[in-house]
Amino acid sequence: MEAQQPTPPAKKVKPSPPRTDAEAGAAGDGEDRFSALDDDALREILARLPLRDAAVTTALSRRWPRVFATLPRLRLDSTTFNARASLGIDYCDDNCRWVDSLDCVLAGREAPVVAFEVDVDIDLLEGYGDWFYSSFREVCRRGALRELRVVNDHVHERYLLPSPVYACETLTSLDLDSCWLRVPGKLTGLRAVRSLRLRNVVAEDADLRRVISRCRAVERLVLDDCHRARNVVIRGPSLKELEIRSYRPLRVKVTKAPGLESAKLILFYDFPDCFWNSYDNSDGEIARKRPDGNKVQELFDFEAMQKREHKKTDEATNIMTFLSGLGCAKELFLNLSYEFAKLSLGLNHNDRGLAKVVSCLLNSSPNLSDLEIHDPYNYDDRRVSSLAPEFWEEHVSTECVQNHLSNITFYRASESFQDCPYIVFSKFLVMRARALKRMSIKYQRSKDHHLYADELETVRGELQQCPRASPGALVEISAVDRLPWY
Amino acid sequence: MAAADSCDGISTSGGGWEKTVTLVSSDDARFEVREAAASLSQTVRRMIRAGGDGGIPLPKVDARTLSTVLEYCNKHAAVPAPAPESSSAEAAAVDLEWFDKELMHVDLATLCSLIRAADYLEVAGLLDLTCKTVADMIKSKTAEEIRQMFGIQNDFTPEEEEQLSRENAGVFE
Repeated sequence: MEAQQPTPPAKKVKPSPPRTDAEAGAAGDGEDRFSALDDDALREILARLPLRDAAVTTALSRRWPRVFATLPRLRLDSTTFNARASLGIDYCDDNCRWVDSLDCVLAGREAPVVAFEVDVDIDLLEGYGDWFYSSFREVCRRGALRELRVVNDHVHERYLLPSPVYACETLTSLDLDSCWLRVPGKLTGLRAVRSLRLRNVVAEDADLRRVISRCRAVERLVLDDCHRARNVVIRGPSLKELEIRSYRPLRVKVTKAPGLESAKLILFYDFPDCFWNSYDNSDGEIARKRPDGNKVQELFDFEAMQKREHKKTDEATNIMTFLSGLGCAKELFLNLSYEFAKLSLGLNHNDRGLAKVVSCLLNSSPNLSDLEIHDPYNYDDRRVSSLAPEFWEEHVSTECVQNHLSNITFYRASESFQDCPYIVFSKFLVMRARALKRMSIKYQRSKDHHLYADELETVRGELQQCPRASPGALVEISAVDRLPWY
Repeated sequence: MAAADSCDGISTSGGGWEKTVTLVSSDDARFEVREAAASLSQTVRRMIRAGGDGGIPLPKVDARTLSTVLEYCNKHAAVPAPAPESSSAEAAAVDLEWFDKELMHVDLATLCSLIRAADYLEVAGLLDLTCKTVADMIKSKTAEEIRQMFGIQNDFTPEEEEQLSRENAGVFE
């Protein structure tokens, strides 16, 4: 540490002297402005330019080609190598030139590529498939590739992901859009992937399962409309964030995800004509129907497919499978395209996390008429409750419970009702449900029931006095000898 | 003398007390800065943690450049973490954007010193801002236009130049 200087006095920051605009004051004195900057700084500048502009700098002076050849990130799109004359257009002006240029850029590399982003229409690569495959292999094998993003802009066709990607051991982020996953027999890479995003990809269940379970380090997993996949199994020992969107029925099973913080499930399949495509047929169906002209039509009759599929789909089991795997997720978002008419829940909904599940299910079921909640735990829930009385007001939209909900049954294993958040939820429903006919709270009578007699009377009184949205509704609390499910 | 220690304090307008640090430029100018602002520099943050007194020496940054860097840090550290979707957060963002734009109205030499300083001090936001500003100046220009603007000498031999244009096949003109 340098010796303390008695002078000069500390000064406050003050505005800089009058300035001239950089562009206006440029050049003139013939001094190279960049001579003061090292190559790292120049790379920082080039990293903020489209690749085409960065490439132009290779012609500036002897210093620059090296800077360009060591840029860590290569970001390509269809227009990257367009001629100067066609800078304004948003498509590739010359496929051959695009391929030649990329070839030239890759051949000139003096450092391995760390991030590779390709956003092109695969038509551009027609006839160059093998060349592009080997380019991929080269980029994946250099031992430095951390981020890979492949976006295929073609409307119908999917880009078959080159197999070297599956062998890349350095990848930490993999983002694929409109690609086709066919996982090779031997899957040796992907172990370091922390962020996996698959959008609009075509993948069979087995392939998808293998990729996901191979990405053991994955912390963020986004599956956005995976064609063909029906049954997704997610084993994510490091998983924190899960987001799934599907335009077809999908069963998602999450196992071994102890660190899951947030789970999002969005099912949206009412518009098969908009979202379905020929890839939603399995390979077997396509092979079977190809030879016959009439049957090919069937491959595109998505509405009929949807109907058939829905007959076979067990939505309730699917959703319970999903929910049961979430464990300790703190944030849950569900947007389900189907609506429950009857919902039966067996969970400790006084726990904040599970209450969120209940509120999500209610919110996504505006036509719910029968609601049954089983409290499976035979303990005093005063201790575990973390719910504020306002929770239901805040998290449940009134529309979902007010119009159709007519029968509500709570089953309780405990007879203690004092300060019970359960009652708060019951009151909320009584005050909101306009179509309510009957609200029953059934509890299992215990041996020492006399201990709870006062509590019971208080709660009964509170419920009776509670303003009812449906004046004729029957509200009752009664004891049963045995609870269903046990 | 306690007042010149690297960890000191000033009273804020709200009557509170805010910790300050003293930064010393290459030409020995001393700047007393709020610690929150100075900590936008990862380099300074590490040095604060390492402790010591007599001010934090920054031998690679001159007073003029440091004063601009600190102008940036003071402004950006003053803005609290934006509360999304509030109109005041939006206004603050607009104000900040305007401030950044104004700050970049400097000559090229200053801009390059700022890049160097931001890189050395590891002020990520300023490095991004300055590099983006230069990148925008390069964008869509031909090699000759860039050379003119930044005073770059073309030191390729004619043979090299010919080879270059052959390799590039006129792609990156």
